[in-house]
Amino acid sequence: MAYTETELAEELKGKKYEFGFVSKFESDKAPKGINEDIIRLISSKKNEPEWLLEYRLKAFSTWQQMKEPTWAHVHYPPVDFQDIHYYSAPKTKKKVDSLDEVDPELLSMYDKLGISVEEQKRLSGVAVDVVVDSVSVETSFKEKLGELGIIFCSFSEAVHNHPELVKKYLGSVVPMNDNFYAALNAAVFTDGSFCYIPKGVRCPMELSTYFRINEANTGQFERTLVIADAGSYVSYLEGCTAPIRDENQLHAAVVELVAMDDAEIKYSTVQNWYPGDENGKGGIYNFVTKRGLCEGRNSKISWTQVETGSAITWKYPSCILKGDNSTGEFYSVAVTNHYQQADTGTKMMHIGKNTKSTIISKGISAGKSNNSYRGLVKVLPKAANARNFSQCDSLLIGSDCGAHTFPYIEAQNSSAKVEHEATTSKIGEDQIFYCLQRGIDEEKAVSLIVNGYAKEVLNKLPMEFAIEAQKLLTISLEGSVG
Amino acid sequence: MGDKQTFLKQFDSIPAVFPVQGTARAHIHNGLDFPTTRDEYWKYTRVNAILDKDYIDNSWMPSSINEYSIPAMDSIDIVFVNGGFNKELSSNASESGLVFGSVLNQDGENKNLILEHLGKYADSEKHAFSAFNTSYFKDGAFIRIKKGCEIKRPLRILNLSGGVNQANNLRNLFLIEENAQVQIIAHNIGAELQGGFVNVVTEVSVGDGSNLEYYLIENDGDESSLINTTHVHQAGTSTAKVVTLTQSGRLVRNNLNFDINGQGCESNMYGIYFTSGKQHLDNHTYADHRSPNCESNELYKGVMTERSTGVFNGKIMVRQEAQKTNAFQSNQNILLSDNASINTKPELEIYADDVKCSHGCTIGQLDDEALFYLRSRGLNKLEASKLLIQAFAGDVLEEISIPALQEYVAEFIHKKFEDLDA
Repeated sequence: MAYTETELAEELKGKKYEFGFVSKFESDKAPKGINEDIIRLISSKKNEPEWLLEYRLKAFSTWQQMKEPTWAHVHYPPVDFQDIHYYSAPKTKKKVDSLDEVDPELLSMYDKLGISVEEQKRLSGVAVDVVVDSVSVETSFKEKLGELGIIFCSFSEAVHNHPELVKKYLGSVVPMNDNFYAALNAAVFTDGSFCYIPKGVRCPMELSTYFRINEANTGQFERTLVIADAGSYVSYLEGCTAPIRDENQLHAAVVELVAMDDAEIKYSTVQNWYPGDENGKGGIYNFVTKRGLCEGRNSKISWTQVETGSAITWKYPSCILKGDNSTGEFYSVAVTNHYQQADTGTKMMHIGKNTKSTIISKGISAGKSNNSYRGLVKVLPKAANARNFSQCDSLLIGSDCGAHTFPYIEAQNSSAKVEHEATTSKIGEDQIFYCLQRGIDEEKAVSLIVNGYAKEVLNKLPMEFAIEAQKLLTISLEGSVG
Repeated sequence: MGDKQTFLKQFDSIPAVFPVQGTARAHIHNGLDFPTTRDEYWKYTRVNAILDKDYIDNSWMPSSINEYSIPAMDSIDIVFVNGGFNKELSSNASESGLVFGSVLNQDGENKNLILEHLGKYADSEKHAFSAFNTSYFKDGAFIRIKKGCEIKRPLRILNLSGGVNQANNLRNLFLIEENAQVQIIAHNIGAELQGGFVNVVTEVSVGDGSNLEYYLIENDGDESSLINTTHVHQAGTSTAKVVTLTQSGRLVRNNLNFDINGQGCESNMYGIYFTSGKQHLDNHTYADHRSPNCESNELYKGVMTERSTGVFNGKIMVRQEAQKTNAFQSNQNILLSDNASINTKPELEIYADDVKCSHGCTIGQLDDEALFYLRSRGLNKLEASKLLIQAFAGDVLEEISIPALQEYVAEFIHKKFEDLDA
């Protein structure tokens, strides 16, 4: 049955009461552990077609034969994969009646981020009618998107309403056997976002998961698929700038991007999950596979990330530059403090002719944390005139932290030009002195210098995001000097 | 891959003279395996060709070493033929403060020093080829520069290998005592060597206030494999420089490790390579900063042509106590053929905050505009390219402070380029 845009718009309108849907599911949480029955259960609960169940089962059997990767420069106690609820309804926060009942620490952080009171209520799960307001804003946006033929919905909806697109592109960029966590995700993913931009359409607004109700709670195994058809453009924002206290310990998301001829995808992430306390207790394990495929000629994929949260980060947003003249970009700021560990970077695979890639990575380590950049730039024999520039800088604050760089560069074409440079240093005493002399206290001085250092990347974020990201950097580094 | 025991069995008749040899044999025969491409540090280099071969001990012997000399070089030579010391071909060293001989032929104080230092720096527990060397080396050069002595003439260790399927393990030990100064050249030549395997391990201890220059010239022939492992242990305010020139070799793997242990050390690593044919060259360096106020510099430059492959992996480790470290590392490559490839991985691992560390690497080709500039001034393409390659190699050449050797390396690059063009 053909599915029309009007129907989509109608359906999107009807989505605003999904909060009810959550409480309904809470009772039928699946038992802990992973096995074929659990996967069948997930699939049937979601009323999925047979092919998707088969896909999941195949991924599960692949996963069973794989080993957890240990090459990353991070250390953590092993994850017990049988001790996780693979099917629990998206977690809801306890609803409270007023902000007085919310953790004051959380509220003070909201204040520092400059989040409005109404917004604070929404984020802390205060049941207020403000939600209705934001939903109506959301709906009007969605109508506009519908008019342009843009599909932007949850993954489960896409499976039912656009099976042909999902079937075609699911696993086309990150195959199920790509790595241990991608296989796990393929077997048990619960939901995520789906976005399709039709030919020649320039998406008029930044698409954000923020506008989709429940998004902040989609859970551990998220699956995102963004397809930009020929000549289209989309800017996609992921994540939430507020410090959501997620209870899930393990996050293994998969993000796949596909850009056709002349299409451009800009994908921005601000990640601020719970990093654990200052003694390194608790915190999220963030094991994410993100990859973009520049399928068409002149296509472009740009990743921008600001990573300040999570106890362990294992994340390498990559670009496969298949189309001739395609471009890949990676801009990253990763901050680690206390006992956080991050191993993040990118892969740029140059396959097509005249492909270009740029990598700018800024790592900041403080406290007792470890921050690693790990990247691969590979130029295949057919990639004539491939060009790469990489710059990885690390800033160390305090004498107990570590900053590491592990770049792999492989060139197999004699017309390739590849440059890589990396520096590691601390904040100069003279810089701090200069600020102190002008009446700026040390903490502010550090924040000023760090923001200047990260500016090159922050500038790539959409404006509202950039401002919040700046504040986040300051908050993450609080107490790291003096 | 062939069976490890079958491979090792071929060498079991070599006597174990030093106690460390017995221990290493136990390691290599039992738990320790030869690396495969699954090992991170051997990711790009397959050693199967070395392990699958049957080796024989040849009785090849050169009549003189004149043809293996470096023109205009006035050096004191020690000669090893197929891993064994050859007294007749070696020079007599009479310099005061210098002990220059074979590891096996030492006695008294020197023998005690060998027993104390041999196997102290090279790890035979984790590194299979080092363990293999320790287990089965026949001999090697022992150099001791006594306190405060300066050796004016360069010392050359000529490691000659010849014959079909010859395998040599050479084991050198250099003890540079306090405030001493010396230049050493390790000259590896595969003369009439076919399908051989040369495995050299050199352990160096550089004392407080001393200065060492060590040059490795690798020319074992296009059909041979070479694994050349060097461990430099630096103390005090010493300065050490290691320059590696790879001239030939089907498979060459260089492991250069610096253990920087004293305050105010300076460690320099330079390398130059020009590969052709089906050569595979792998340079691994590791600078381990364990003390504060040290400096390390590294520059490796290479040209890859035809079907050759190059690997560079440089690692700078700055430990927590090594504050005020300055470490620089650079690897620059020119690819002249679409069938050639380069895999490079410059690594930094830093646990101290008050440091200045940087690394960089580039892959590119001869600049078209520069070529055009030169050609518009009447140089033909070959001459123009040659000039650019010379300029490219220039900053490593400058680091060679023995004029005759510098000339020799420049001539090698020059000639290699002409041969390629022909």
